[in-house]
Amino acid sequence: MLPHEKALVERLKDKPFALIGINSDGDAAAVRKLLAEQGITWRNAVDVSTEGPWARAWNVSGWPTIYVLDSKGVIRFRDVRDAELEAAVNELLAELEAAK
Amino acid sequence: MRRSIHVLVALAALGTVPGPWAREQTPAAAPAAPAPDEAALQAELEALGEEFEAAQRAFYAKLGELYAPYRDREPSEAEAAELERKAKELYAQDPSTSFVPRFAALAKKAPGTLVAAKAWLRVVNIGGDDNAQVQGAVAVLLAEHLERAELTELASALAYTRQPPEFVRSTLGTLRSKSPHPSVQAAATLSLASVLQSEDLVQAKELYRELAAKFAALDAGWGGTYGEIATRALFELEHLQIGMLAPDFEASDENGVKFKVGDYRGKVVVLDFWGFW
Repeated sequence: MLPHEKALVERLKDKPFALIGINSDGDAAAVRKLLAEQGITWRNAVDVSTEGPWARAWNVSGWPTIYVLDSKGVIRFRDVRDAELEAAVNELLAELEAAK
Repeated sequence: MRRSIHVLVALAALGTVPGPWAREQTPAAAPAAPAPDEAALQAELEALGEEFEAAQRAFYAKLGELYAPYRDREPSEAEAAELERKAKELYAQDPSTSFVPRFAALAKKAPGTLVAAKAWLRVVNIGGDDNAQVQGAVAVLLAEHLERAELTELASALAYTRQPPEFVRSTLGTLRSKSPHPSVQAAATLSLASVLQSEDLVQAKELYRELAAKFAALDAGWGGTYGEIATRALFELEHLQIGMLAPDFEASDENGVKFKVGDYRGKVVVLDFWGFW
């Protein structure tokens, strides 16, 4: 996942695209350390643990769990990974481009 | 390769990880004809359980070793093929396969006893897709042990089993309507809702509502009360499906800056719930 995500973020850095992590490893300091160590450049919500407020609210029970939203905020894909995730994002960006 | 970790967790859930039933120690009704050597059989069951768990730990350690090099990087095509071959080889030595008949044999030595019930539950938990063994164990549990609170373990296990859906649904239906224990009824209702989720959303929602109404304060042993579990599941079904507007959630980022999903309107957004642990 991680290498793929890095490539995705790099490739789409000038596009209307955002990858947001919701991390369950610890507090803000722990997350900052982890992001630095792993070379992760994108924003991460600090959800503290697997029983964090966001994971709880969204009933997340497996990690990673992925949601892909279109530019209107509508959930369009769930649990796509790697090549599938790439294709999903490409599709939604093309859709956004076409609507302009 | 974080996916492999996920798979391991799922596998562990099928095996030895204590589930909601672990807390439940309600003594069952006394067996009709207590075998005089039940204490010896209980000791035998515990020893077999320990032997199995040791074998399983060794198995998962080997599996973990196999995937360890790919925690931080994707395997190359050649490596992926090799990984698949080795994993297949390793799965062929899954200790569950050899322990299923041993637990079944022990259960048959003490029919009707709590030891037998626990041994049959082991068969269900580790039987995988050995349909004859698992379904045989379930038949005995329903026929001879339906009054036992320990059947919460059966109800929970059926949410993850690889048995045919028809069989799973009918067994859960029996547990829901025939068990005298609210803990078993609730666990069976939750499992039935979760297996129906992908095929019959309307019925799944009804079951979650029933769970929230009838067993709201009952502790599920994990994830809180059945009321909380059902409420979260309903939120997911009603607000987090494909085609639905993502609910807004205010979070705080690694720098302490607050943000919402809605701040990203106009952009394609990937939300990745992840952890390194």
